[in-house]
Amino acid sequence: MDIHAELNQVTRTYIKHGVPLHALHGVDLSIGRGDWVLVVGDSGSGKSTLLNLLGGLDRPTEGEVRFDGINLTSLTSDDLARFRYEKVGFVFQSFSLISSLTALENVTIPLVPYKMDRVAMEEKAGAVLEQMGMIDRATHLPGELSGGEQQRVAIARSLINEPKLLLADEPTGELDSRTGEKILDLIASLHRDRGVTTIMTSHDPKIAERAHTVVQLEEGRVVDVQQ
Amino acid sequence: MLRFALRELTRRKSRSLLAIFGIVVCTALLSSVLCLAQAMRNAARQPFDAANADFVAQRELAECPFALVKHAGTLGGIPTKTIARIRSLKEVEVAAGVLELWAVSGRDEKDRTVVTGIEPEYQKQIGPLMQSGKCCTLTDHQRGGRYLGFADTQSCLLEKPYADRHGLHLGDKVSLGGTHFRVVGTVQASPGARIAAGEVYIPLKEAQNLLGEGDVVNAVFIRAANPESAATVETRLKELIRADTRRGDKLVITSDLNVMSSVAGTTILAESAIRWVAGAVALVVLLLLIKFSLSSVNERLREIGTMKAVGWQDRHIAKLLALEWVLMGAVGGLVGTLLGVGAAWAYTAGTRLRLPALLNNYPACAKTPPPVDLKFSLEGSEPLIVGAFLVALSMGAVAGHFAARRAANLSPAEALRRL
Repeated sequence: MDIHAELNQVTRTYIKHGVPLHALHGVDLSIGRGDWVLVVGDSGSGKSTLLNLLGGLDRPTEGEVRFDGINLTSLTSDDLARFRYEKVGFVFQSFSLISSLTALENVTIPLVPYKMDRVAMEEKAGAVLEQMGMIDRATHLPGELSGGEQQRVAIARSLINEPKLLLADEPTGELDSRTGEKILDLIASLHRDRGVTTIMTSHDPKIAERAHTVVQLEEGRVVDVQQ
Repeated sequence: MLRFALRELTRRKSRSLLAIFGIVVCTALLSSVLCLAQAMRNAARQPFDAANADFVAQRELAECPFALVKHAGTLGGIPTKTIARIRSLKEVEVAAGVLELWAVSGRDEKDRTVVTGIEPEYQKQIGPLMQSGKCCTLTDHQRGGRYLGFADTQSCLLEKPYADRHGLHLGDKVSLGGTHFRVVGTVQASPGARIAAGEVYIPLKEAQNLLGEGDVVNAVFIRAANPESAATVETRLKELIRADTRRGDKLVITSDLNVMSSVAGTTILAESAIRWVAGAVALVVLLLLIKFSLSSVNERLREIGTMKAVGWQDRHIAKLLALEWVLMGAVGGLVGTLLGVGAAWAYTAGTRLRLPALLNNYPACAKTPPPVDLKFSLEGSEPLIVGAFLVALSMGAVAGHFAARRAANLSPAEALRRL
């Protein structure tokens, strides 16, 4: 298998009110290039922590996280930000759009600090929005969009840098089942067409049918991996 | 990024407006106090600048006897030889004495005229005929009008309002305490406050003859050789001019530093108090802004976490937040400065302060208006206005720095988890 991302003996411990809390405990996991991995488990099982570590949003307390052979734990904060900008696309359950910005401007957010020309930036964002079927809503504020539309804009934002890795933390969690299905179809087509390695978390067992690999987490440990 | 910052400010309108309002109040208070202080300094400096002098030394008498010709107001005599001693001080650039008199005048000797005896050799260097450091304008120069000559006797210069009121022209005679003086010129001096201004100017010797007290003056104009030596000169004056304190007489040395306190003591006190209040308000507003900026980071955890997740570096986030607060500082500073300057201008435009009576001795019965109005002007306030604006900008920058530091130190996972 062409390993794209891997976790080696990763432990992540948080200290809450002086008490250590193991969000992940000695996790070993290898993800192949172009895989679609679904991480399932109860609330508090460590799904989001796993995604954060893979996306360079967090650092393990012990062990190492590698992406394309690079040890993310050794990178500086700025290098990690650059890594996220260049390699990773995030989709959140709550969309996380900025309410004062239009759909188009929200999609351009990742590019803003890197001093790209505004016209080029908007052209690129427009193209991604078009792929998401949202170009006619480009000038709308998030408050004027439905949940499904907001998630499409969030997906467009995650794709603007053409990432190698798409991390989606319960992307259908706040959507009704019909809209959730459409979002899953969209992610599936992106995975198929672009070959993006996709890692999703979900409570929904029906999603497992779409994934190549299903990783079961329980209390911070991988208890099952089904291909 | 500027567009993002502006959008953010307009999105959180009430918070932004509240922060800007705080900066406006603080800057308005600061700029108005600074401008008022400058206007007062200008007003206090104006009569001294006009006379080209730093000090005026006078002896004030406890009692003021009536006579046909008398010292103006409560002034007492200072021997002329004292002026020579003052001139000999190395810290003094120039000094000249004047003798201010009230003399009965007019056809029936019923009017009282303010007469100032001047030393003709110094009339164009220092004293009441000067105007903003230059000698005042003769209005009848083209018709033969001139200043007082060194050898002139029984000659006089008239202030234009006095000449107009009495219909006097070149060559006419003016009766002062029974002695007649021929008009050799008419001067149109500055309408603002002038020290020892008279209605009629005559040679000092003639004034001393009229008074009959010998070689005395009752006011000495002094210009220090340099600003640093002013304090020394003041100390030496106290040694050179003796006043009979047992009788209640006193030596009065007036400069721009103390003229304002004698005409507006409470205003000075109020200004000092307001300055402290302005400083306290600035401190409180700064602390509030810092608290505001820190709580605004807490309110924006989702946004900050998302930005970090999509690749913004810590310094990018810090830059955005700092920019927002500097923008608020700039807007608040601009509005506050304009309001403060406007308030100072409105206050000074409607306020009148008068030169202390000792420095301008027109009697209540004088027929021409005394030049005693101290003019307020905001001239020279520009650096203070810029300073007040920079204070506002700095307040924004300091608040922004705290917000930026807090946001930059947030771990992205932590920010997203705390939603």
